[in-house]
Amino acid sequence: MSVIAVSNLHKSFGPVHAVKGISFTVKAGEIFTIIGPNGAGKTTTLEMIEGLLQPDQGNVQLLGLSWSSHAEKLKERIGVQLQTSAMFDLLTVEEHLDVFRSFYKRKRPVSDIMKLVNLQEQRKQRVKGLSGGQKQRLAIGLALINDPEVIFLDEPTTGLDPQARRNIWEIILNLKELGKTVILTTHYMEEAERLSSRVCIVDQGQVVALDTAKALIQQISTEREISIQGSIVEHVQDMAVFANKINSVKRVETDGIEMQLLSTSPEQTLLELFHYTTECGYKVEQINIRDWSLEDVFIALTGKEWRD
Amino acid sequence: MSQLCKLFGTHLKLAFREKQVWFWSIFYPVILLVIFGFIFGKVNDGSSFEAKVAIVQAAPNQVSKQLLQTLSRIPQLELDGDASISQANAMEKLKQKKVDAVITLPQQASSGTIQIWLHQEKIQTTTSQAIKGIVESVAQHLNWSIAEVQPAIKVQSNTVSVGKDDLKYSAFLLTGLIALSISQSGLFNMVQHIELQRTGLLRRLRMTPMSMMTFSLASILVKWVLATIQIVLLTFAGIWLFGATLHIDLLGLLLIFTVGTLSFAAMGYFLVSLSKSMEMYVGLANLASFLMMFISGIFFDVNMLPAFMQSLSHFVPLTYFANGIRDTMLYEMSLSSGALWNNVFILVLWGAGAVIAASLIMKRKKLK
Repeated sequence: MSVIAVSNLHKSFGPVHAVKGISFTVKAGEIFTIIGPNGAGKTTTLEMIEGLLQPDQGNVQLLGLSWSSHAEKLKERIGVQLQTSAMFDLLTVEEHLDVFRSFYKRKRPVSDIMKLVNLQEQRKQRVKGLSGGQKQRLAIGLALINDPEVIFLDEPTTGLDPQARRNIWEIILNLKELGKTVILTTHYMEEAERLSSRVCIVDQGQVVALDTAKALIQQISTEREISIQGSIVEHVQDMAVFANKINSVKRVETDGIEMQLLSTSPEQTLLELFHYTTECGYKVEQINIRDWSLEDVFIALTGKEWRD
Repeated sequence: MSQLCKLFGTHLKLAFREKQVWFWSIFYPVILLVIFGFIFGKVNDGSSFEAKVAIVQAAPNQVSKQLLQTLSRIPQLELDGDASISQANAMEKLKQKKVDAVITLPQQASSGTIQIWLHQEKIQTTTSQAIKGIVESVAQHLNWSIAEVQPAIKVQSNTVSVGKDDLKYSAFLLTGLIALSISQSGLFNMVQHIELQRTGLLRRLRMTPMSMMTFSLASILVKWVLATIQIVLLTFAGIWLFGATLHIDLLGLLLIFTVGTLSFAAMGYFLVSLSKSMEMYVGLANLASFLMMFISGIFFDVNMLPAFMQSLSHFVPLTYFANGIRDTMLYEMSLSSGALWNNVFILVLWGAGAVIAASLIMKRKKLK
């Protein structure tokens, strides 16, 4: 069942055409990630779905309702964390959650939310004294206070250190376990790969690709790169001759004691290669199988370098 | 209702946790009262006049001795030295502003002139005018005494007021300052709204089902509480520091105070709608406050202003707020008074006009 249906969205700001005909659907319980470089149109798209911006053209159906006729109902059923986590600096964490809780008919206990976003220890601390990561966690907590069906998280980890980023990831994965639908924007490829049920890559206001991260990667190539480091140059040369005879190996390159293979079946390739090295008594110092990433997908599809 | 209470509590916490609110809403008005009270209170209170004069008696004679004796008995005049100072030294002291005036006594008993020397820059001041008046009066009395005549007609000055007999200028000033202080709070306290816009918090709040009307109402109620604290503090400070005597009609005061607080908050909201930045808002609020301060009769009666300014004062809301506050705090004007309702009506017009104009401007901004 689709929770969000977006069709042919367009939005311009003066001469800048920020969104040019974006369409997609999001299923219940998914973590749907919109990924793209800065200025790709992620936030504009998200804000049109959230009802903050009026599309110039196109249609948004959220939980089967439209913003033009059911704005109040929709506000009760969604949770939003905006890109800039603006809050009342002089309120404590607990007071903040408590005042936001009073805005909704359906609500969760403040203590539950503090536990969910791991802010129990900071409950009496004022917002202005919180770290960047803690502020972002509180912003997510505020988005969860009404136990929403759909949660929008706009770049929740931007500017955070790796530890704080991982903390946020844990919260998002918890939301998935709770069966919530999460729409996430990010420009971190690793984040999209780790968290998403499906990934929507946008560039210059258009959808470039939309699928699971695994499927997107498989789209660009079924081959994987294996790097092997031997100990003696002659042994590595012998290994290269042998590797060339393996069916799944498409390309072999050597450079001194280093060898690179491109294989459609890395497991089978390595099994056969190890049989050969064991029989010959050759020593293998290091093996590395490089996975393709969403970054490679982006480069393959747009022909451009990824820029954070 | 529970949402209003929760938001009122939140705004109250935010207001009292903000040091700037403590300063601008509580301490600043009191400081303003003390400063203006001392400046204008002293100038307008005749009993506080004092001047230091140097008297030159180059050739002592019967007339000059008599004049010196009379002048030295006047408590408002402090004599510099004992009249043995030379004309040149006295003039030097006057140039250096060590004395307010030099009085040169006549050198002959039969005929002569008393010369008063004043500093050119201070010629228009009340002190210079008063010194001239005192010396002229002393000379006139001495002339009558020499001529052995009694004046047939005497002048006696009296005052009349619609208020009680104990009404003093300090009370007039205090009530004007209370009106000024509340109006300034209304105009300037919308800073919070600009901050909400700037940080994006307003946007975040709009994404919740909370009614913005309830949010604004809670904010205005907190402003009312702050204004109440202001009026109480200023009243006690005025009574304690300047001995102001007040005759308050509580219901009338509550009405004009509430209407005034809301109207000026609405005008502050109007200024917010015109502003694109914090700097622009503060500039506009300063301009509005400064213009109103001087043409609305806060420090002196509007009749003292030039004619065109007097007519301008009829359009300024602070004039009606100050009048209303004075009517209910000095003249005990009750709810049955037409004059009080006239002030209320004009303030309501200003408030409603400001809200409508601000809403239209905000709507146009959103559409853009």
